[in-house]
Amino acid sequence: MSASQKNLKMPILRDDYEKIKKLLKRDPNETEQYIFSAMWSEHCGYKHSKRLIKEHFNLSDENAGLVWIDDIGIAFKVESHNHPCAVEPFQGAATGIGGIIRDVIAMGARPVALLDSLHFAEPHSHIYEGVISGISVYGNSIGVPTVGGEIRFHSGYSYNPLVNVMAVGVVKKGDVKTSKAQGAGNSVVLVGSKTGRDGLHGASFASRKIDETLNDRPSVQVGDPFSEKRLIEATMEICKLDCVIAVQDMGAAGILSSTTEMADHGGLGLDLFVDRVPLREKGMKEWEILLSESQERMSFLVKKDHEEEVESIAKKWELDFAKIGETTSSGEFRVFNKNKRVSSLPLTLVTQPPDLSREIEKEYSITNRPSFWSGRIQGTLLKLLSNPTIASKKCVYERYDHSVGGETVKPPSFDAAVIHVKGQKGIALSLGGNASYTELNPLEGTKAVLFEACANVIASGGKPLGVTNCMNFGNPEIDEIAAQFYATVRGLEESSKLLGIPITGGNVSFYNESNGQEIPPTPVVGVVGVVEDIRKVPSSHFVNFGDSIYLVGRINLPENGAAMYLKGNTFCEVDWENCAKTLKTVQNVSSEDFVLSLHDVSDGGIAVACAEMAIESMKGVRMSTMVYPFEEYPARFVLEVLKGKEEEFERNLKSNGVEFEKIGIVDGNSFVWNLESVPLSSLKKAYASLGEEW
Amino acid sequence: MKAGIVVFEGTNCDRETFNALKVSGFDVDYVWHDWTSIDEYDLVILPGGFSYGDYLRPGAIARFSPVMRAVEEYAEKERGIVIGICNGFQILAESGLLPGAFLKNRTGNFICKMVDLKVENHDVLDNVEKLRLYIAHSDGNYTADEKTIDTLERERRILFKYVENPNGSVHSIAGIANKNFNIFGMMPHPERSTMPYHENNDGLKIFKAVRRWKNERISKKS
Repeated sequence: MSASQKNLKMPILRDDYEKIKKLLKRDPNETEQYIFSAMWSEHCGYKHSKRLIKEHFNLSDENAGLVWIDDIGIAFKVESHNHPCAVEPFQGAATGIGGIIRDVIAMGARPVALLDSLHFAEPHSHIYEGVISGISVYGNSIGVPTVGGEIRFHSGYSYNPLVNVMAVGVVKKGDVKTSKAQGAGNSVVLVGSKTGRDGLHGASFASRKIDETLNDRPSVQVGDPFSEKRLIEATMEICKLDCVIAVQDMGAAGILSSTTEMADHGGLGLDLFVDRVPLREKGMKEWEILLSESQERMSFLVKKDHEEEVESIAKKWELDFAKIGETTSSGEFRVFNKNKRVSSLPLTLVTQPPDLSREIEKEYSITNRPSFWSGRIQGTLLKLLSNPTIASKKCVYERYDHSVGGETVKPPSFDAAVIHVKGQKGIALSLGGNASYTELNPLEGTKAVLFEACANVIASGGKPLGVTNCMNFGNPEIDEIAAQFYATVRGLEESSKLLGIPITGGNVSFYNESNGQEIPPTPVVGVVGVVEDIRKVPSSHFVNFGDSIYLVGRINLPENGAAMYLKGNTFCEVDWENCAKTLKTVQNVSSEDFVLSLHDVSDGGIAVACAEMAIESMKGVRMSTMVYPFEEYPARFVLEVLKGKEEEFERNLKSNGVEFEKIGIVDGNSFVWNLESVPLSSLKKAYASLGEEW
Repeated sequence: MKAGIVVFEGTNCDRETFNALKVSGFDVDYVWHDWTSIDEYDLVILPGGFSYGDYLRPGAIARFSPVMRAVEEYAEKERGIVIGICNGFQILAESGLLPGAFLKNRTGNFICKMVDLKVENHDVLDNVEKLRLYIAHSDGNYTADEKTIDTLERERRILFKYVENPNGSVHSIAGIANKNFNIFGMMPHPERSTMPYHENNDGLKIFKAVRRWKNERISKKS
């Protein structure tokens, strides 16, 4: 080990050091070691995942995924901010929002919606309260509505909560921006806040387990939503300039990662001048400026001699501006401080860390034994409705501004949220995971998670267009975890192919472990769908007394060990082709006038789904059915069909070969399951267990 | 009729307010916070948002913008109508153009939900008894001393009240007018109830009433 490496305060793997030394044919100096410590960290370099994701998902290099509705592009992406939220939940969540918003604006898209997938050990904990407050304060202030997502509870998140945020933006055809640099001699400019020492080592911090003996607080960034709001508006204006060649947000490893990625995507070299970066603190070292994760900054590649056009917009929004670098044809990444060269590295060496991903295959068992239920349902139903994962999240969603922007068609409640886009068209948005499923069987469970996200979009009248994801795991160096990850990747690939929906983006968060506890494997999947006519979005609660209630999807079910009521040991065998057929059929029938309400069946089975639909409108049901009330299986829906239109509806389903059964009617003010009656008021009380008031 | 929407740094309801005024038949412009004259407009709206991040107190920094001096002159000479919505109401209160002040919501949290409102002044809002509109604020707890409230009640300057008080506002006040009835402040967001795809279109009733009020009252005076 060389002297300089011994002095290094941050971990750079010995293997990496030796590799770098061999490739450079010299010892990397201090600045260079810090450059590699960040760029070759898991968080920036995706060493354990990049190759597998590339091979299996066929992704572009851009900042966010993109799907099209006529000439309107929908840019969307999910990112995790798990590690910061474990240490400082309020700022962790706030800066998580800020970060993912900048990915979307880097595409030239105006952000129109946020969704959060939150996973905690228990409600009302310090972490739970902090994360929700952070989302509320930051998201509300920047004026982007938080319209959906989920909050789930599992004991596996007691030290490591998961905070995955999806941002969605819209951009006109022709206005889409790229992260790909073009042309040597063009200027890299920075717009946004000043750079300080906050968030130093954020990338490497998020690439290891959380150690309570270390003080990780300085690794958490601090957010300023007011700066972000100005940065959004300034970026929207800057993206309209013809002189702007490429745009890149600044996230993990700040200026370093942002600018080198932009150059790398264009196959160019880069010169950076750190002394030109506007600083918040005195005496910052070169590597501190490069690695700082100060929030609310963007970089733009601008045609030479056009920098002033960008500068005047930055001035209008009172944001700092600086020309900090330029592209070169050399292929070198050089860093200068006051004309002194402090680092010179081949750029691709910096941006292409070694591949450590592994294809470890493991068999996860599935069983096919019949499900069974007899007796009364009241006790189990009330218990499930008051389970914090199922219980109403209204008290949380009321803390988020879900209607700012004036485009919210279906606010957060059940299934997917719907946002108006143009004319009669809208988008349906869903984001979710289910650790109970994926911990029993990461392969089949992941398929179920994607089917569930699509079912949500369909239940809100949408047609799925694209999939994005954030995959959260423990330590990938452990074989078991590597196997979970590989199974998840294949599960997503197989199910998206079966459904014919492209995967447009992906994000991976490893090392979610502390105190010897690892999180259960938790892929979180986001789906964007098109709603052709927003006037036809079905209700998600019962509408008319006398209407018929149908279950569409598989009727006789195998026992699912991942089901909420059961908590068994094995995942059930699923006929995915059949599930895909059900999704397609319900998607087609959802816009018919005789389908008045529609809700996807998930946690807690059809009894919980029907209870939710009844509670919201306080219209009772009379059910008469032998189907198991609480069993869970993918691709099942509850539909309310207008009285007198049953035959037409049944004909439609039969012609598609989809299983269905009429299970009851909308009636009275009780929840009647066969002969057992439960007052709606008790269901409502149980369902409101997370918040005092409705 | 021409409407101007004032945009401060941190304003975030400007675009939907623009669309709402368009469907209500106004010609609409954005007005930047450094403008010194707004006399070309018949209606000036200070929209919702977090001007200057709501740092210090909501509205406390925006009130010093050059445009607020212009708003004061505009109201003084009764050129047209000024409406502050949510953060706009907070800015008007901070400027002293409307009485009272705002505290944090009683719950301590931001609240975004539909609320029922009972119309108190039927001269301004004729033929409207009830409204159902979105609120979305952290600091919507309106407060004023007893004498001010008495004056507001006596001069019929309370526009509407919450049916169920969501935030702790004194006398459940949700919207008020100044003495001359040419400056209005309201916490609910009418612009979020103006489109066919919104839960209702009660916001249109407000913009329609504003148009009539401007024609009948303000134009007559000038």
